[in-house]
Amino acid sequence: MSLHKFSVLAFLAVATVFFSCEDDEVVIPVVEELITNMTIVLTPQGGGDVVSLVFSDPDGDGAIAPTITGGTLAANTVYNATITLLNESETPVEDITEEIEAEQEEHQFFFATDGGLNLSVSYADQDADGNPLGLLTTCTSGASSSGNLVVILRHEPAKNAAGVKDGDITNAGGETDIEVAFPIVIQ
Amino acid sequence: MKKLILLLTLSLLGLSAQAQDCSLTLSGVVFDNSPAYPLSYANIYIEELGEGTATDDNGRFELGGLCAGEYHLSVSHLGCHPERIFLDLRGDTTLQIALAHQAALLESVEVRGQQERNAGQSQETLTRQELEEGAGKNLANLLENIAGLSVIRNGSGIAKPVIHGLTGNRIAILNNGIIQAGQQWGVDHAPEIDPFTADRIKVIKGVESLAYGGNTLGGAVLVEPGNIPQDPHLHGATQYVLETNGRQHTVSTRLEKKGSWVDWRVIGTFKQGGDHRTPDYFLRNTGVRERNAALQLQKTINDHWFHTLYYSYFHTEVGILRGAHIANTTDLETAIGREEPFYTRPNFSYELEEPRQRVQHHLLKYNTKYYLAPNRSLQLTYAGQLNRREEFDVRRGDRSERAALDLALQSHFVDVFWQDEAGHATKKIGLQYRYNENDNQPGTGVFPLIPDYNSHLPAAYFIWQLQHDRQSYQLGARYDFVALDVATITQDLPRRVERFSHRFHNYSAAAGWQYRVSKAWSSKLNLGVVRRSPEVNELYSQGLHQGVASIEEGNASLQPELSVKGVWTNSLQLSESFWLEATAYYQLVSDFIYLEPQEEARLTIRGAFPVFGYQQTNARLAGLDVNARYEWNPHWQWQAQYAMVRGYDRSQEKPLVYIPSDRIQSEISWLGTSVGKLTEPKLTVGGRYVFEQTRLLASQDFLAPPPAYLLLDASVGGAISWSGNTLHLGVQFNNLLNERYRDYLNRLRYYADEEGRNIRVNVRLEF
Repeated sequence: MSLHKFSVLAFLAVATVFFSCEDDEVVIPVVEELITNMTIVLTPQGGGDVVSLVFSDPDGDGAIAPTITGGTLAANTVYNATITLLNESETPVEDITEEIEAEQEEHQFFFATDGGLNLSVSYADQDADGNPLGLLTTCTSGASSSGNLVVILRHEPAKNAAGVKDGDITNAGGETDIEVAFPIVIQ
Repeated sequence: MKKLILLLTLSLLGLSAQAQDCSLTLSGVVFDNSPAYPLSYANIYIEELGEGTATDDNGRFELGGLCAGEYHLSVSHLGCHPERIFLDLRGDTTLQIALAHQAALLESVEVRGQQERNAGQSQETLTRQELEEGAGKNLANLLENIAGLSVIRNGSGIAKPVIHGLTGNRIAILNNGIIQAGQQWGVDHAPEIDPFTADRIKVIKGVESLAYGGNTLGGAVLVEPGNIPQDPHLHGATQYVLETNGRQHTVSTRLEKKGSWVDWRVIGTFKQGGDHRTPDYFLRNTGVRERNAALQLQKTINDHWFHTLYYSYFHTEVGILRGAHIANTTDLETAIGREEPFYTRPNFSYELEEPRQRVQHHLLKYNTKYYLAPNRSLQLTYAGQLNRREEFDVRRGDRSERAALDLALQSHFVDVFWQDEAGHATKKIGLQYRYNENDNQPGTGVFPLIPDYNSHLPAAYFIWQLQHDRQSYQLGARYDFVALDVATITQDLPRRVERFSHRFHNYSAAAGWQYRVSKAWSSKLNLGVVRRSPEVNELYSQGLHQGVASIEEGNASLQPELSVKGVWTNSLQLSESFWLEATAYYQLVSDFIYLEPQEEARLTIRGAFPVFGYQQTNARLAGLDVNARYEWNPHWQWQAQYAMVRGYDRSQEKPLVYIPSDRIQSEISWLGTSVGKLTEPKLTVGGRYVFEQTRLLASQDFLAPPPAYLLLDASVGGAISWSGNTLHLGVQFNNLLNERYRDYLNRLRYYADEEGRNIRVNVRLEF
């Protein structure tokens, strides 16, 4: 092949690539890992009003602020608490709780209170290794008070580090998947 | 440390071709950059005959009684890498061989017989020898020893150069003359270039790189493969580098030959490293795997038409410190307060896990140069690039195997320019067109940080250079039109695609003046204006940056920034043995684009995040680079560098962030005399002191800048030569005292210490 022919062929090959670049359709991704809704349902052991704490943020990291609904608990009452996580941006709505259950060894919820809220939380479930998970808990309210219940979900925490099994987050490490403060009133 | 560079082509004089004549004379002169500085005691050695001679006080040599034939000449100077020259001896021949000292005349290094006419350019070059000694390092780390250059890092594996305080979008990186079209959106996006493909790397600190275009507001880095030597025999080199820290192995091989139909060169590189280690613990997940290849073909037709085809492939997979993958500000605060990062393992590992990056880059370049007349030429260049960047995060479910960011960028570039080099003047006029298209690849399950976009960038430029006696002048101007079309996804629901268009007019102009005041003093002044339009990440980035736990938001109303920079360089040869060079610069940037923390944090299910938005202000950068070299005698040498830069926000009256702190480095070398087959023996001891960055307000960072540190290095090396082959051996000790330190320009300084002691064993066989 003469060099001239080669040059022409090279140019044609280049031009083909050049002008075939179409403006591709933009794909709007489905964000599967997103948690748009967390609901904690507190059911009094001895019967009484069921309380639901709800965090809702349909646009995820977007600029629209989430709505957080707290609740009012009865004083000196023991509640069974159940956490449900949803991704409502998918159709049908995806239950993220199942995903946490499937990876129970790699997740753990932590609970803290602030503002003098008189509420203690203890784990009512275990992962396959016998370490706490926290989707199910027992919440015990004390005397009348108010403040926040802070719910934290850590991904890949060090569950065997000192204090972590007792719910102390100090040495847990890992990445925070959830960190939400619910305003609570005990009366 | 004296290094030699083959500078000019050989001028062959005298022809009395007789086939079996064995009375031919080869003579010549070896000089240091210009015939005004002859080099004495340079060795000329004919490999085929095993005989040679040395130059006299006037740099002259002569070898008589030679038969006609093909020879390889090896030209060397004390402690230096010999340069090989292929010679087809047919008659009495006189050679003019220019070898340049490494430091003294760096700025005028140029191959191929061109007279250096870059008036007033402030540039420095890493020679092939320096590249070979630093083999295995990535591009940015190689540049670190140049005064005025520093490196911004994201751990040990990812680094990008900083020139005079500016980095990222403001400096252009050119691979083989082509602007690297990679996704350079963040500190964690390193240039996708294999330094083994380079014969030299130039750094242009001024703003005069008009022919290259792009965003050269801060300067440019030029990675240049040289021409294939005109030697009809197969030559090449194989290099192996072992680094103890990270247990990293690097192997690279280069083969080249002047063929009867086409000249060719191939280069292949393989690198594998594992977890690096601080003095106290392993940095988990800081390994790297790299495999690169390059092919270069050259064809000459009729002595006035040249073709070059170049293809390179770069593939890297690099881990990011596991303990730096944090999710929100609470995690960040916890991580910052720790002695050693979370997830630290007691053992070494080659394993790469999330977070990690996989980047592939293809470059195809075709260049043709046609001489219309002996001094007038026309050049056409096409370059196509394909870049794929995948970033993997720690994710729930089995999604860690799926990239959280997956971008494919294709870029096409055409350049036509006309050049006239008649007399003392060079004129150059060029037209360019560039097309970029960047697409997010579906399947990530994450909203893209950078939207899909495409851009058309036509440009025109001219450069005029004049050499007049002891002065030279340079003048140039450039115009760029930028048409940027972006498709973003809305933040509010329901999600929709929105399209935006931006049109910018960018221009730049530069003027340079060089004056050789006396034999001992030369002065250079360069002034330039550059207008840079905002890049797509500054306009439209949207999302969370892992590692620093912040949300970054683009600003679609940004305007181009305008920079004026002056660079003044003075070189002084104070005596035969003492050389000093100082470069001072001053730069004003109006509408300087920067990231500013917003007042309100954003609440998400993972807690509150600070939001950073792109804003514009007026900035000022000023600084000084100093280089000094002293030779007590041919065996003992000392050299030192000092660099300082000050960055200031003139509108808000506060310092700029990420400005390198002052640094000083120095080394003493002993160069031995060759003994038999053992050549180039050399010992070096050096140190680097980096000051604390004190020019920063506490409110400008999550953590105060780390304290000053001093690192000591040492190296020992030499070579063994036999019948045209050379084996180079070198051992380098970095951070000799295993110092525990952190660097302000490393983004991982929030979480972990820098690497501890490292021993590099470097073996190179040239054949």
